[in-house]
Amino acid sequence: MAEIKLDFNKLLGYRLVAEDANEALLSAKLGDKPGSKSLLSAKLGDKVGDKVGTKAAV
Amino acid sequence: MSVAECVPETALTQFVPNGDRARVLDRRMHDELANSLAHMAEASETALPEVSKRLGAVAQAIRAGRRVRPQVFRAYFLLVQALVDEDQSRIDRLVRVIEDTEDRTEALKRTYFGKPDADQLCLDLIGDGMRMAPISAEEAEAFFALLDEGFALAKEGLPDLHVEVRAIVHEILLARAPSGDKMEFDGASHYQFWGLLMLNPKHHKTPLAVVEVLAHEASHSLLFGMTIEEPLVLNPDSELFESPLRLDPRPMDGIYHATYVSARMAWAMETLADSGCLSAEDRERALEMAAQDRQNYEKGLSVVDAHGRLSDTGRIVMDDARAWIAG
Repeated sequence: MAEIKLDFNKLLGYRLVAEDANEALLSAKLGDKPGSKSLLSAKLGDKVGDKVGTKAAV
Repeated sequence: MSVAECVPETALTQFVPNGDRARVLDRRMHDELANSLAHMAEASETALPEVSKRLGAVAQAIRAGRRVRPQVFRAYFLLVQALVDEDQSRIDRLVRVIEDTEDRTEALKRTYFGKPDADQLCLDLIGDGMRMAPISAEEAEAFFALLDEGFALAKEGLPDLHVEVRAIVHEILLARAPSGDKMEFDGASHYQFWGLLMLNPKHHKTPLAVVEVLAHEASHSLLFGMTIEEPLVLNPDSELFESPLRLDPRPMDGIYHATYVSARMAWAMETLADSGCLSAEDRERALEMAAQDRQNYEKGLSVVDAHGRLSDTGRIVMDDARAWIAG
C-alpha cells in the first residue's frame, strides 16, 4: 500500500491534538510497531470515563 | 453559510442555552466531518482508490444535508487510526459503517444496554474502558417514561434548554455499572460520539433530577461543539487534579468540563425554580440542588484558576460562566 499522508490539522478532533498525534506517529515509525500508540489523547475522551460525571458507588 | 451568518460570534460561546447556537454547532460538526472525510479521500486516492471514492461520496452527501448517527462520527475517528496503521480489513469495515449506518432521524432514538441494536454501541464504549451491565426492558421502559416527564418539564420551564438539548442530543443510551463496582457513573457523553448521551437510570428518580442530568450532559456536548479549532485547556493530560464531581483525579480538561457543567446545572435548577412550574416542595429541592451545583462550581473553579492554562476559547467560555454565577 502506498503511504497515506494525513494532515491532522485538517481532521476533526485530531486538529486539537495534532502535535501529540504527530509525535506519537513519529515515535511509532521510529521503532514501535506502527499503530501501537493511540493518536488520541484524553482531550478527545479516548476513554469514555474522561467525560463521565461520576458519583461514588454507595 | 458561515457560522456568523446564523448566530453572532458572541452567541456561540454564551453561557445561557440558545437553540439557534446548538443547531449551528450540530451543523458545524457535520461540516467538519465532511471536510475530514474529503481530506481522507484525497490522501488515500493513490493508495486506496476505491476507498477514496467511497469516502468522497459520503463527504458529498453530508455536505448536501445528510445527518449521521453517533456511530458514524466514532467510525471516522477509528478510520483515521486504521489508515495510519494501514490496516486494510479495519479500513474496509469502518468505511462500511460510515456508508451503511442508517441516517439520524428527527425523533429522539432511545435504547439500552441489553437490547441487541445497542450492543455494538455499548461494546465500543466498554472497549474504551468503561464497564457496563445490562438494563432490563421493564427498567428501560420505566425510565423512558420518566425521561418524557423530564423533557416535558424542561420544555415548560426551560424552553431554551429544551431546544438546545434536542438540537444536540439525538440518541439516549441507558446503561449502568455492574453491581458492586467501586465507581459508578450517572451519565456520560463523548467527543467521538457526537449526538449520543448515556444515562444511568439508577441515579435519576424524578423529573427534576432528569432535567438536571440533561443540563449536565448536554453541557458536555455543548463544550465539545465549541471545541473545534483548539482545545479548551493547554495542560498536558498527564497532569491530574482533584475534581469537584469525581473521586478519581482528572486531567485539567476534565476539571474544566466539570466546573462548567456545574454552573449550567445551577442555572437550570435556579431558572426552573423561578419558572412557576414547580410545586413548593420541588422548588425547594431545585434550590438545594443548585446550591450543591454552585459549591461544585466553586471547587472546580479554584483548581482551574490555580492550575489551568486556558486557550482563548477556554477562557472566553469560562468567563461567561463566571459572569453568570457572579450574577
